[in-house]
Amino acid sequence: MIKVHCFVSCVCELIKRTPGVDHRPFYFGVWDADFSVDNNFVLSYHSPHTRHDQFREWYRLLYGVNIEPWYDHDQPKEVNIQRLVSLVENRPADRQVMVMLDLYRLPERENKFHQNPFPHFVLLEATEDPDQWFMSDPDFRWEGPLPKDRILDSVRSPAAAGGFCFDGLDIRHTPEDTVAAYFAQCMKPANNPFTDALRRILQAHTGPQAPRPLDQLPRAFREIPVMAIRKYAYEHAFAWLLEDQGKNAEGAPWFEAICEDIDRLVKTYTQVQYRALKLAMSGNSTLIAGVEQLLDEQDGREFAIKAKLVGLFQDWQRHALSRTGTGASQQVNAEVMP
Amino acid sequence: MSSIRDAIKTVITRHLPGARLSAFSGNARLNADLALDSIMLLQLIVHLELEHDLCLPEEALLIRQPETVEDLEALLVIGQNTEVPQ
Repeated sequence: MIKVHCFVSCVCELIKRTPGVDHRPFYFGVWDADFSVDNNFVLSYHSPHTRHDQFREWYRLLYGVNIEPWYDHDQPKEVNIQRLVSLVENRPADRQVMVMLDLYRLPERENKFHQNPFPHFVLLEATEDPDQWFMSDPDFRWEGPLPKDRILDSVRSPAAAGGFCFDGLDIRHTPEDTVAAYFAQCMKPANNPFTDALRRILQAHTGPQAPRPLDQLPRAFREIPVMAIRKYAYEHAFAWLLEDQGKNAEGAPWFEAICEDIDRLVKTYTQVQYRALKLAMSGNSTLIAGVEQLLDEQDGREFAIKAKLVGLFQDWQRHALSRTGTGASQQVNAEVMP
Repeated sequence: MSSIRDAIKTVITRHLPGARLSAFSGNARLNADLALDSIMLLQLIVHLELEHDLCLPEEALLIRQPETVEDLEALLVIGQNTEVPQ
């Protein structure tokens, strides 16, 4: 499984360890998950206003678990640090303590995007050694002990502010109707917000009336890679919707072909970034068309993936109906743009 | 050292001050050894194209990003060979 969103990876870790419950439907919310474009038209996968309210609400509806924020944004950082220390050191065995830290401040950890800063959610536990904490980073499939002071230093980064805790005592099997409602909420068959945003940002940096200078385009597009990998969430959805009907996903030609389409979608964003960089570094405005053309292609590619996913979802609904005689009645507008 | 490798080193020296140039060699890994992130790698590729006429086929970006200096060199060689002489 490819990890694509640090908040989602952290909260799904508990679900993955629970027999009879599947974390993959939760990824419906990831491929078009929120991001921000600031007043300077800079793309950001995270903004100080991100609270993950929708994810928390759907986690409660899907799995019956409340994700409670413990971080108080109205309090100074040191007050929150003390709260974190208390939560970690007095943690009951079934409680998960999540904190946002700045991964850039932990150079001993992988930072494959080399983002600076790099706000990132991890899970923390105390160990027998009071100077060491055990850090679990499901998004990067890493876990291990680290000096408590190093971890707290990365939490002190001005770029990091947030934390949640949740208990794993009463995880419930997800009702099919709820899964269907979540899918309906997440599926945007008529628009692709990320590609739309890239088009908007490009326009804001090009042309005589552009509010932003062209040489700022690379900075505005800098976080494309972090956003692009969210599209791998489609794979989880396809796999789960197939397997829940008793069909094979991995190894099945139809599924493998879809995975190739998704991979192409993700990797073409690198090509978008490359062409945008070349445009900005050369100042050659004839290259704008090449970026726009790729964005149009990305739209076509993603609409096609969404159309296939909506079709598979409708198959799953029919299957669920035949299985239970009731569930999964939520309708999705199946009209998908070409 | 090949002229392509020279060009790679020149661009890193001139334009990518965040890179760990002391680790530069043919088998140096671009990310782990030279500390080039994905954006810096793209910058490197564009500089090579604009300043040294060394082109990398765009399709290569879709298949797999080069891991080492030698990988990048090989892609740039392919890029040169695929240019049709006028």
